[in-house]
Amino acid sequence: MIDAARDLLDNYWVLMPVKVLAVLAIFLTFPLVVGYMEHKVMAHMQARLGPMEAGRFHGVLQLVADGIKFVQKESIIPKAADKWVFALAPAVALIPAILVFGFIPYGPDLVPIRSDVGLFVTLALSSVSVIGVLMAAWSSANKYSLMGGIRAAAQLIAYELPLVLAAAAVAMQAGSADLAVIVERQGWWGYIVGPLVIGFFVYGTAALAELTRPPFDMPVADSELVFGHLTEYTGLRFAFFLLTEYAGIVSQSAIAATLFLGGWKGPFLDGPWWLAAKVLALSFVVIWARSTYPRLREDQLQSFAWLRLVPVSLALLLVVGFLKVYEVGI
Amino acid sequence: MPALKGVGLLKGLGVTLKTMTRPAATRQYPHVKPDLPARSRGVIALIEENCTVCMLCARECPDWCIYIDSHKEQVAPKEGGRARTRNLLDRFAIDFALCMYCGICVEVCPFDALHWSPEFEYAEHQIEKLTHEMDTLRTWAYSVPAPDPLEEGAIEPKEIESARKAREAVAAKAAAAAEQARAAAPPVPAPAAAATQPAAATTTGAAAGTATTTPTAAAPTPVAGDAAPAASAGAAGAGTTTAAARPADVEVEPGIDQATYDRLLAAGESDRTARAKAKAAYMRRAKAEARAAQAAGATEPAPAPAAPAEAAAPTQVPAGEGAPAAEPASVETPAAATAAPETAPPAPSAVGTPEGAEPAADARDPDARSPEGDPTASGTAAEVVAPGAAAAQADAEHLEIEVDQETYDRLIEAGEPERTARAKAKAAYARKLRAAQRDGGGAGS
Repeated sequence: MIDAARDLLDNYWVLMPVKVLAVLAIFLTFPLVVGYMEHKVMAHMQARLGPMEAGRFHGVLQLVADGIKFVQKESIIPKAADKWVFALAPAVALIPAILVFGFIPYGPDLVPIRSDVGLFVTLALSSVSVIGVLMAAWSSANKYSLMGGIRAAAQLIAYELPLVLAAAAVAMQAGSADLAVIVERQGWWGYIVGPLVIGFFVYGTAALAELTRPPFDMPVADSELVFGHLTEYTGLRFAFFLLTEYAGIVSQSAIAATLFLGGWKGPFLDGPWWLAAKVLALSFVVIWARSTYPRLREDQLQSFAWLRLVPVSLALLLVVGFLKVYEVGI
Repeated sequence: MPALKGVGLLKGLGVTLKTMTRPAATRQYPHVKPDLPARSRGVIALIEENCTVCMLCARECPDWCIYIDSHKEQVAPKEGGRARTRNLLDRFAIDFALCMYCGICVEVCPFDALHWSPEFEYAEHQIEKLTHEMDTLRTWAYSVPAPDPLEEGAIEPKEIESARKAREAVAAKAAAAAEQARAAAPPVPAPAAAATQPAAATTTGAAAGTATTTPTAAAPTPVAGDAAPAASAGAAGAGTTTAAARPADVEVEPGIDQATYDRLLAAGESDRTARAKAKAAYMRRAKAEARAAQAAGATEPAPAPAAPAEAAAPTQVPAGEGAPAAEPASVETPAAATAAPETAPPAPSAVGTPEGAEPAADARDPDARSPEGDPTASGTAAEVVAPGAAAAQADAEHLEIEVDQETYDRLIEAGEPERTARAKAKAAYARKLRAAQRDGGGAGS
């Protein structure tokens, strides 16, 4: 029976839909879990209770209720908007966010799409989302949207650099850009023991900025820009942007866990469980930072990226290269 | 100093993490009732028995959100002199859609009829439903906390003292009278009731009608025997004085048109409205009849009152000063319950004849009432209200503020706080009593 199932799964045309469905299932559950977690964790950090009604038990179905609400809302496209671009922007932002989940190694043999350059594909895909943001910003025909979009683009350019440099340090250390290989070359404690711990912090900060999560949420700063590129969006399209954000948290957490925290590796439990635990822990930190730190100013954001993170990550690259060349073990 | 900056960032994380592990400050309101201070200013409650329709509250209200309707009623003088009028409250409503909760009405009320109640859950979907009539305002009064007790060794307030003394004196007298009545003749409640309606002969079933408003009066207790002579005496006195004083003008004794009353009650009107309208109908007809009689050259405008009054008179007992109390008009008011032993003495004040009995004159004077004499809800209310407005005493007798145990248990079971449960149970009790009264009245007629 199991053999028969294995044989069946060897067939590409059977395996591919299974993989797609599995990735979709992950994409549709984890962002919702993280969204609910954000509601509750933030509430309790602010001495509140958060959602308590939907789903009877502590508001567990709050996001489902929100989804139903978004579906019911009218989808408004402003008169002056570039309709096609406006309508497409959420998809452009959302689809790369889904695709990233396909490259993550969930276990020793659980890699939906294995690639020699998996690391760079995931980083590239997660950067594509900003094109959706720019499309939304430009097509809205709204000055706040446009300014928000420009800020998002500037932020992406600034933080993509330290992000990629930190990831490059890991790839250099592991000797491969294949995510599965990177995980295999780590102990279950990952790379955070050693100089790469700096890389972990640089990567985490840059990823936060890339996701435009607080304290780096200048592109949607409500006191200055209403809601940035999301200002004109309603209903399902708005929900797609929100989903992109939460999917981004999950995928960036998964990539960070894979690069620095040993990915699926861990004692006692199977791979997927460890990865899920690490992803949720990192998502918690993202939420924690959101409820702790106030928003940076735009110039602080830029100077922090160019004057702090980029030099630090360049130095890290040097150190890792030096250690690698002279074969000092990490 | 980048190192110190980093410390600050970590401290921030520590603060949020610590807050997360501590219980939230949220109170889940609809599920858990808020623990409000007892004197929270939730809504304005009315003790309608205390209201003299002085209109101060309505005039002082910055929003003009208080609506008061009343009618005048003539009160026969005690001995000679002119007839007096007094106001009877027909409607007291507050539009809480307009009210801004300034509390000025509560402050200015000279008779402690208005109070702050801690009830606050009266939101409505339609704005016109926020206009609450006096029956609702009255039920809110049951949740008004009692006034603080006097300090130890404080002097008893004047009105309470006089009321207590009067009650003791009258109780003694009533006991004596009851003895005498029992010895003299069996109690005859029916003539007594009839006597309170001297003009009753013109309407059918009027005797029963009076009984409806005063179920206790009709009760064949020894006390009824006491009430009967008093009422009849008043009737006789009033009948003669008014008839004699102004032969030219058309004067008729107040009464109510029982048919109209029954019809309005059946139509769902409130007891008070029905009574007022029935009275108006009666007066119109009686006056017309009287004029017709005058035009026809009849010498006696109201021949009817004499007969029953005279008939009842022989049973009169020494309770002389109680006479004006049970003057016919008093049948219209809750104070008609004067027949009850406890409520009989303060009745004069309800009738509003300052020259009446001692405690009444005292109580009617606004200056004589100290602000501490706060006639609020629960047990103390009955006692404190008594000197202020005998009607309240009478009503308190009816609605002896008790708790509907069944409702109370159910609400406590449902997790309501004790205060709310008690207030609601009281309201339920009062409602039941009122309903019972009304039903009894309907059956009586």
